[in-house]
Amino acid sequence: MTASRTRQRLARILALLPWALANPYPTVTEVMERFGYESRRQLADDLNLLFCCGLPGYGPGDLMVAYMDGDEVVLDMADYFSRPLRLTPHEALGLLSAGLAVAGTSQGNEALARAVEKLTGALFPEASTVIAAELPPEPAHLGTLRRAARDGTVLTITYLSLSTNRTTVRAIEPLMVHASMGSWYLLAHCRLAGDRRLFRVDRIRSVEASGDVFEPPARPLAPTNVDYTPSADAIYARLALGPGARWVAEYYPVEVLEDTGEEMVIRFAMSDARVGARLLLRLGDQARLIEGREVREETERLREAILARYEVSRA
Amino acid sequence: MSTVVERLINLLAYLVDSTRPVTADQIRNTVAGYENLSDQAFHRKFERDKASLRELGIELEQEATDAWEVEWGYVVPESNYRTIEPGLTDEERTALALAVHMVRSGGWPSGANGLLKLGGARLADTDTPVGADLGLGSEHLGLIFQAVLERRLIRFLYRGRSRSLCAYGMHHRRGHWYFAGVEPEQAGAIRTYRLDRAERLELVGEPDAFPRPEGYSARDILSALPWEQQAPKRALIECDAGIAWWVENRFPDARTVGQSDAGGTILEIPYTSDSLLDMVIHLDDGAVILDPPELRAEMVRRLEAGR
Repeated sequence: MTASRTRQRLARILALLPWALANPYPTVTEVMERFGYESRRQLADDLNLLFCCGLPGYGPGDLMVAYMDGDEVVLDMADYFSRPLRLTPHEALGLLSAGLAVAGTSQGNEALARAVEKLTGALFPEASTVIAAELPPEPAHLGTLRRAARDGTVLTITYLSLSTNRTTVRAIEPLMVHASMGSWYLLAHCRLAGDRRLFRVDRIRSVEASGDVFEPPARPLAPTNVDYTPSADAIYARLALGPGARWVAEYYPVEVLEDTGEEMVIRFAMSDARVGARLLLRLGDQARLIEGREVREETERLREAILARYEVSRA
Repeated sequence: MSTVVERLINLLAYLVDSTRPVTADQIRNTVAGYENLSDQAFHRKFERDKASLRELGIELEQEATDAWEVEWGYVVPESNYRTIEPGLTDEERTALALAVHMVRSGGWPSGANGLLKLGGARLADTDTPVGADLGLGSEHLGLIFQAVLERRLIRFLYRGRSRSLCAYGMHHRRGHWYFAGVEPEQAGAIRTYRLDRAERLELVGEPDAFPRPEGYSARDILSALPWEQQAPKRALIECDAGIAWWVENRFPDARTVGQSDAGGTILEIPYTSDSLLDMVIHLDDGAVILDPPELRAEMVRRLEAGR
């Protein structure tokens, strides 16, 4: 069992104990639903484990009583575990920020708003808005995409590519929409690429039902990580960052090779040389390319292409 | 392989049931799971177990076993127990459970354990494939929340400068956590800091070190960010046909003022900072700044800087 699975199991047992002591003889179903047990077997395992734990001596009078009696869960002889544990700062913030973030979207409802208000009130009795969290504004097509993902509707989208600024029309099977780093994304199986792709929802110009359907995944997917993970064909560049460009090392997943305080040298991985080229143009004299042929070529090409437009429009 | 969980539960049972501090030796000789270990092996195991409990929010503390302070033992202090009771109904828990299910932090579920500690919740059947990630808030996220919650002074490095702060509140926006407050003993304006740019953040001093101003709201602070307060200037940007629609959506206050000869659209966009240049660079050669001259000159200067 890995360390994190051990931690999860212990966290659940320690949360279950005070609750079950305060609410004696709960039904198996209620315990499973409340505490997210996936099977009766999983709950039985935890109860069996508790049956072997208790106070030193570890005789019949020292061990906890924990078992399933038909439809009921019996937990006894564990009064020392009757007080609920505090929420760690991380846990409290996780709960509150999740509630706040969703409450501000079209997925929020009155029950959630009340829950957030009660939590805030319990944590900060004297002030009302100490913590705030908001998701990015919802783009126009979000609702359509969400429904299509739920219903298994194949869509035809007109998409303005983030990396090339070119427009394509493609048939996609939407899987899930999620917000990350200030934007909404759509994870979909793209029939044009024949693979899963991540689309920025704000770059989708138009959406139409294609008339075709697909089978949505049986279990909801977890939000995908939008951070870029370098693949085998990634392009690398070495950059020196001046004081005004140090944020790059925090914003992008880079490797810091050297940091003198004045200048920071990083190794930057990207899927497309244009990512590095735009970054270098954006940083101007705050950054310098040390190594990376593809990025150098793309930067020069892009620089001249943009400058050419300024020459022409000046004339 | 349930021995770790069993040992930790036995350890905790022994500690919370005891009315006096218990020494490491007593633990070693009494609690099931620590028998037959060398000195070194015991200490390693015990340290690891304390760390595992700490991650769940259970901090063991040391206290003298008697008035002479010869021997020290471990206790589970009062502060480990919950004092707040939000009193959520089942319906409210379920709503919260759905939010927790949707929202992650740097790829990890962020509120699940907190919800369990409040008594768990039934997750309503959800067929809504929606999610959100609030991004990694750095290892400082729990610490800054604690500072805000307990009103404790913090110290940190920001852009190379050491600062102390009475942090009043936190705000998450567009993928980043911010915190805001004033420097102690300075009646200055409330300043906002981005959490992932704060280095070596630490709590200093005791709780209740400062009052939060009456009527303080983390929302007000954010809407009063300096670049949102200034009166906007206006830029004219010529955008190619394929991207003009996106720029218009991106800037709800943009206005179409004309068409270019090449079939592009000329948009008038209110702006308050140079970050408009960053957006234009991301349009590659699909856009050009026509006006004002100083913004256009800055663009050309920046492009030529790396030549």
